[in-house]
Amino acid sequence: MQQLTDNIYVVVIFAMVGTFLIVSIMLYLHAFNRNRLLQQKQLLQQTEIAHQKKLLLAIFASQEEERRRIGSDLHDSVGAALSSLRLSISSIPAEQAARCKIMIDQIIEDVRHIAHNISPAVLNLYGLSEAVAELADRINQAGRIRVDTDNQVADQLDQLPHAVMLSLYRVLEELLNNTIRHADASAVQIAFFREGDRLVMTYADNGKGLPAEIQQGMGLANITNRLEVAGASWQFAGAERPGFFIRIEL
Amino acid sequence: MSSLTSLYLGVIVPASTLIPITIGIIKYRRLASRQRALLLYLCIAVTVNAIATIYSHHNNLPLLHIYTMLEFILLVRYYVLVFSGRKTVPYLVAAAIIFPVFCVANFLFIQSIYTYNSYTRPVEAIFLVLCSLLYFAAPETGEKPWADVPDNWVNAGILLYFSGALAQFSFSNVLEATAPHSVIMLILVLHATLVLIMYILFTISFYKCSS
Repeated sequence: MQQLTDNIYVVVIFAMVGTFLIVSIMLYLHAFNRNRLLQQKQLLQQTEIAHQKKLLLAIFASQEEERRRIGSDLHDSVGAALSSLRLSISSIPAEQAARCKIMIDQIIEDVRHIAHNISPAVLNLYGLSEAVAELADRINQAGRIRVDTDNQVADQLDQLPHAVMLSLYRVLEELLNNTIRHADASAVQIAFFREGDRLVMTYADNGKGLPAEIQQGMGLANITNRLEVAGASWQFAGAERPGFFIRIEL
Repeated sequence: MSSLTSLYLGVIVPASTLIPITIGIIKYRRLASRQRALLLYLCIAVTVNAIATIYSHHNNLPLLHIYTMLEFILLVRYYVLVFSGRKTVPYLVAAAIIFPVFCVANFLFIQSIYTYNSYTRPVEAIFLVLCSLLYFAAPETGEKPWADVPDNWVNAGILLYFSGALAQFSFSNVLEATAPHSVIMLILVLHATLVLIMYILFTISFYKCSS
């Protein structure tokens, strides 16, 4: 009997300590497995994001290539054909010819304009700083909106990889397009400057801000996709400031 | 009983309930409803511990019979909130009604209220161990590491304490009748250590609450 009760004490103590140890090990393994699964999940997500970025980059690159080809074709083929047509109508009566020449000049101008918009040659030739200045000039010439640019980092902008320059240029085009079409703004300010080791671009207009339909629209999705592919971070201003404001960091 | 053992069993471990309660009160606004249910359980536990200490020179086991019911109901309430929206909830509610009836029947008809409730307490322990295992078996949907999920710490505490103490709950009356004093003290110290570990894990859980 003494032997039996002695055994019960030992069994109870063993059961308490043993269960504690087994449960502790089980909890450790559970935590270890959960953390490993979480890491794998995060890794998979990161791989998927990187893959999506690559796909977007490929889409944008092929889009730009196609635009360049169409722009070049318009300029070289249609433009050249119109110029020779302009020369060859010299043989028809003067009054009719003058009217045709005016029409052809208008078509040449339109083709040049379309070709330029499709693929900004100035960006490829002179870099982003010049392309932004030219874009601002073009809008200023139209006279509806005043665009002011303050570029303190012209050299660094022109040293950016071509894909990043192109993304920033397209983003600016989209932002200006949104301002012209939706903002009821009279002025836009674009600034480029350096903050630490980062390049910063700010874009502000004095319009009515960012309406909900634009927030979910394709225009803004294009902007954020372009910025994501360029590896930039961005931040929209809240309701605390009037108009639209975006800060982009590279 | 040495003064150190007496201090550990009578003062340090019962007073340790105040650690999670203090952190819980400090972080009260950030606690989820289930953590608040746990805080209520701890408040009841500290009150019962205080009454048990006051009546420690008498047979205070009736208090344990009442405490077992309260502990079960409050911890099942915690699981009702944890498993909110799942099929388990009606079973938990049913258990929270049936178990107190079983406890009352036990001290009225089966075991004296002045003896250790070695039938109801192991049942409570087994049920709560199953609840915590059910919690850990559920697929993780969050994006946080294990250590950053407050409920993981709570369930680790419940699982460690109730599974570790199950043998003591079951054999308490046998040990009380047959074991030498030193062995009973050793088992009580082991039990108190499990309680202390559970309270520390509850404290970590409250500390980890950030929303």
